[in-house]
Amino acid sequence: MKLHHQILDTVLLLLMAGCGVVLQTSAIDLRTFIGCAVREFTFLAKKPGCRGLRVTTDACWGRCETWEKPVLEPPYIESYHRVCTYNETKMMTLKLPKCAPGVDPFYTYPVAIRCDCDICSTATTECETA
Amino acid sequence: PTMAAFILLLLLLPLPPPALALPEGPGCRLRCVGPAGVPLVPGVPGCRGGAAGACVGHCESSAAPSPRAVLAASRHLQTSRGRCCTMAQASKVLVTLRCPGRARRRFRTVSARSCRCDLCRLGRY
Repeated sequence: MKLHHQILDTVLLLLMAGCGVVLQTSAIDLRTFIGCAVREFTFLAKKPGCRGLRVTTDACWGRCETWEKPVLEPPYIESYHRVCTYNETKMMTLKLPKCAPGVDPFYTYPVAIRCDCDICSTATTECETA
Repeated sequence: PTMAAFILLLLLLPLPPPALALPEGPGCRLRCVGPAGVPLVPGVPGCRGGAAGACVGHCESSAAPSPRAVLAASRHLQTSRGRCCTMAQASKVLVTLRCPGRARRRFRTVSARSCRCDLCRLGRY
């Protein structure tokens, strides 16, 4: 049974090497996972004048290769910083319940199709690091 | 038989990891490198061949629909959060490069002494 689980883990990890596969949290050890994959994510869709709605969607999660190494020219440190982010998305729109008169009830959010380790594009994405 | 045992022992000895080889598993770890393939002066205990310290690893990051606070302040529907492998402590070092057929040249650079998952450099992020 345990071996069966190990084989399942290996197969899923191999599948995820190609990305675009939803991360099965039950079969993958998230503490040791390396790479960037689509993962289920639940958030509260809410805006002023409407009731909130709990939504489950596909987002991105993982651990990307990053490094800093010394170089011979100023500033003497070369950085290679990539994060797990959306590579391909589709937009979903839902209708929020019980909106006040005159309030647009529609709420649009991204659904991950593919995720990749990449530079965070400030043109499309709010990039936070901490 | 003694020679055979000696060769067997040599084969069993662990090989040193190649420069900038990725560490196994998550985390951000110290590695020895020579910038542009040129060996540096010793910067980290345990480094051989005059290498300097670099930080290499896998830190956690994610991207998801933007929370309310972000949506109120910007038009971005998606938010990325993450940390990157950085030098937590570094020393200034002078390196001497031996160039073929020329005098030795000295350069300034840095050598990492410790590493951690921390802020991604926004200039290149």
